[in-house]
Amino acid sequence: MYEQTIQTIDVPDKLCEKSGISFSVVNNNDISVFPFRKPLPQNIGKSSEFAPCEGSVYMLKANSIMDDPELRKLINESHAIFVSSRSVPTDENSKHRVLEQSREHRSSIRQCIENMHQAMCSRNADYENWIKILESIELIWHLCELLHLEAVHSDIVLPKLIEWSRLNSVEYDENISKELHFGKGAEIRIGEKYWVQIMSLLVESRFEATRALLRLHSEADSKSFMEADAILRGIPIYTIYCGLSPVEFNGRWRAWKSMVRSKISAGTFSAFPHLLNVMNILGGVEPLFPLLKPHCHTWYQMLTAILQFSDPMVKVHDLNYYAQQCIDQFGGLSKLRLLDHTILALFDADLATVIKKLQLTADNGWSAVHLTNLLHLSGCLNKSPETAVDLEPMLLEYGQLLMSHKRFWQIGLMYLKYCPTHGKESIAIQLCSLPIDNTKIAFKVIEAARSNGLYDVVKSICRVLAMKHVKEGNYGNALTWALTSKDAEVMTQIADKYLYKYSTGSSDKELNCHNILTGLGQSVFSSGRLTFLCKYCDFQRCYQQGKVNEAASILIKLLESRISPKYFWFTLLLDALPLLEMKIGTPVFSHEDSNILLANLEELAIGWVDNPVRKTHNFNDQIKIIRLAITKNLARTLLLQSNAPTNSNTIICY
Amino acid sequence: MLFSPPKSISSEHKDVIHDVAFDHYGRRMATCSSDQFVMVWDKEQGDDNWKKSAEWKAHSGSVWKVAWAHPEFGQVLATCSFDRTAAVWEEIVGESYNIIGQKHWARRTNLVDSRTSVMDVKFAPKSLGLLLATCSADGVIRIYEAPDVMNLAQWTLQQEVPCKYQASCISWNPSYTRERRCTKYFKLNNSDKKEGEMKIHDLDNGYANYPFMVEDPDSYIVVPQVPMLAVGFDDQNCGANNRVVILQNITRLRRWNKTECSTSVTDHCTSSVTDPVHDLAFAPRLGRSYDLLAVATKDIKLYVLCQIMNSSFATVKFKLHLAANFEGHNSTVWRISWNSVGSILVSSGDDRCVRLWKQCPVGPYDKNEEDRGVSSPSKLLDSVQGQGRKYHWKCVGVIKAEGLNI
Repeated sequence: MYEQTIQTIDVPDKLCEKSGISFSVVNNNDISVFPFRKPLPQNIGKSSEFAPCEGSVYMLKANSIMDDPELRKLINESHAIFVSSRSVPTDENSKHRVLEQSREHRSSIRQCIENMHQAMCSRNADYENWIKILESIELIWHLCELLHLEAVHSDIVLPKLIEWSRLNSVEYDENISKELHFGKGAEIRIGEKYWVQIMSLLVESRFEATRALLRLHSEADSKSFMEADAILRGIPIYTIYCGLSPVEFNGRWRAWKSMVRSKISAGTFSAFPHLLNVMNILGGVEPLFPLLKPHCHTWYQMLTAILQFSDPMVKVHDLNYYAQQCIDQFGGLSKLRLLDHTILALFDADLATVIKKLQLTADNGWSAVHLTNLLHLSGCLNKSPETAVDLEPMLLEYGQLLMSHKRFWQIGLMYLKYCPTHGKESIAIQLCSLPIDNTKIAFKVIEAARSNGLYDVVKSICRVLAMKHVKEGNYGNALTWALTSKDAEVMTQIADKYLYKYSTGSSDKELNCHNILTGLGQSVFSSGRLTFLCKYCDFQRCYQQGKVNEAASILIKLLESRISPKYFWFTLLLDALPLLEMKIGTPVFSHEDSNILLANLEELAIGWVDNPVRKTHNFNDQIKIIRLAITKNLARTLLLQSNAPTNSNTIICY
Repeated sequence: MLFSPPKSISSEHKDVIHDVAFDHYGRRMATCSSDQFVMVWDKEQGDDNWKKSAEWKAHSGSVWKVAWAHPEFGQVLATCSFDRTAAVWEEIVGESYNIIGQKHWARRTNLVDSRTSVMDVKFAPKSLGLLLATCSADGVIRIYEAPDVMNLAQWTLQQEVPCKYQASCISWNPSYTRERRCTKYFKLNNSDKKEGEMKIHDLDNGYANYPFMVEDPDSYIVVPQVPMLAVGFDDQNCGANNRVVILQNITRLRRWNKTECSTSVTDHCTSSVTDPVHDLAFAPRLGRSYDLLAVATKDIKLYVLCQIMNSSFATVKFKLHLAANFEGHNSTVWRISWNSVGSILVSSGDDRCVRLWKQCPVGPYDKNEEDRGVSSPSKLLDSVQGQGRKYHWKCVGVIKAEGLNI
């Protein structure tokens, strides 16, 4: 199950089978299907040949690594490593840092496998598949790290391969340490199992352990065993710190090997056929393959063993030659699975292929993204166009997947940010399609959009929320959202809608807008309609507080400047009525004011054809009352003004 | 793509469902059927249960298609029907229609201009405002606009585009944004002409490259910034050159004009659609310099649409190139659609399968996998990056109709 396969899903539906099937895309990952048949031209308009029937809609949810609690931890950890790998500029230390990050990734994979084991024990979760997948990834990652991220000294790879194969086959260790613990004398160790264990240690080049186990043999004091022990003790092992140049080492190794061979031909071990086998392997006596084959599980395990005994100084570019031989022993190329292909590509130092293979893993691209990222940062990836590896499509796919999840969208965003060509647009699309369940999420998403310079997205999200509140009749909240995105168009629409509702009889309490309007400040001026609305509120406030003169002057300004929508004139005139009819003290409206009122009234009374206000209850009666009030006011002001000492003798009369 | 087992929702429609549409967030579902009803389903928060929240008789004939408007305009649906009308519906908030708490959807307008069955209705991308397009069996494409988004009762017929043949489907190009004003263009480099191919010079990222050759030397690719919509025709008598019509809005004239698309000479024979078109879909453009248009006919054809300006900056023209043929269905394809980021193409056909297509990396061992249902005109994609194909379209999932074994 390491490989991602083409999945075929059956939809168990009788109608679907009869009629055929169609689909609709739910969102980024999910799909719905339903029975469908395009009606024949002659049947159009009639009920279909399947009627009466009851079609079902089927929802298909895409599985992803985000569904699993253990894998979620892996996603989070790898995200942290990814961000730290990207946030530091490259310098001479970067190679070392990349190596550390690679180890961090591997340790989180190991941790994840461990957790899955535990989960399988404690709550019977089925993780077998995932453990296999993660183990394969770790195996590849480790080898890649050893061969390509770590420095390979003088091109000698064997020590690394041994380290790799040892770490990945731990099943024998426990058994053997148990054996050693019991000590000499137990009978079983003369049996087959004893030699199998010795061989498996040899395959992993654990010579000290082999010696310890050999010493437990009942004949360990015989000359043959003493000789064998001496040979094993003297085996030259190349390390960078052994103080030998490769040439010197090679000489020493050859000398040791010929010594082993001469002892074999002298018949030193002929009394013990099993021991002779061991010595044959050590001496590299052909044919090695059939000797080793029963003790190797995989061709790559065999490869390290073969190299240890026949060519310890092998160079990277010779690996393929030996690998092919080992693969032939294991049934040839045709038997290889995806994992084997990936490992082979690693031996060939063909990183482009390795990554392509990794992309086929059923982990939603998790491993390919993170390993490629590290290889990219360490400069390992070939720059030549034939083998270039594009990181962007991987980042894009992985980021898009994470962003489609309401829990991971912020993490996905981090990956998409590193996609120069498609990242920004993708972020914009996916931020917009995040469901905004509450204000907290809304602000988070808006903040994310702002910090990425996506003001269109901010606008769109605010518009959606504003419209939602408008439809619920909550104009105050709607306005707040419009103000959040400084969206003049929507502000105008909302203010307009508010005024319209108000003029057709809704009270401010119903529209729930007053509090917002009083605290607007500067933003009032972003929309003309909103400015008007605020001024009107000022008027209302003054009027309620009894500042009639102030109220009257605001009202006149609103009418005179003509920023009021026509359907609102009637409301304004009605508001003027109580002011006109005030009998105490001097009239609040001057003569000029009265003229303006009258002019507006007449225009409203004549040009009312497209005015929805005329439908309001007793519109005509109201007009008459207002006209009367204005006339009375005109008369009073005229009298007052003519009596008052004034410089101007002309009185404007309409 | 791996899917969990399908979960069924009994639709309660009394006849065949014609269309299922999901809202912007994938949380509401609208279905329409030959029984003349429209139903709306809501996904319950927290779990995956879908509950019917409204049903009503929408038309006096089969309802062909249903479409959601962007939530910026509220909860709005459009339907089109055999009864020659299209309608716009709005959900009334807070008003329960009946005792079981279903919502009331009010008919805001009835668009009655068509004289024949209305085959498809689609809302424009939100950046164009509240616009919708319909197409009719007599081949007339109509574009309607609601000038005041707060007043859905008022729709004006912006334009009628007559096209003689029976139209079947509409797709708006989703990538038009009003806010971006600068025009991006890329120089097509003619310097390494030895294999007769050209690459975009400016981008060293192979993934973003222009996917095939252009004959004109030294021309520029201009990223199209005009509102665009494509219409497909399934008329039997329709000529091969008129199977797909692309309309573009000339903002200066406020008119929709048919776009003259030239096809490149090298793939002339393969690029015109000769069979009836049943569905088409523009992909989201993301960062590409061209558009992708998927067309469902006897197979799936994937076209690249780009705008080319010649070196003297004098003429700008559109070019349509066939980029790939997906033959996996081996039968008529009825429906086609992209996911929201355009990474997956989904199709359904007469083989009773829904197939998912995705761009996958080509591996060296994949040579024999290449004919997993996709063929490409040889010249095009081999020269994609000038270095062999790195990505190809592959079928990644099949959903099959299986009867119950009772």
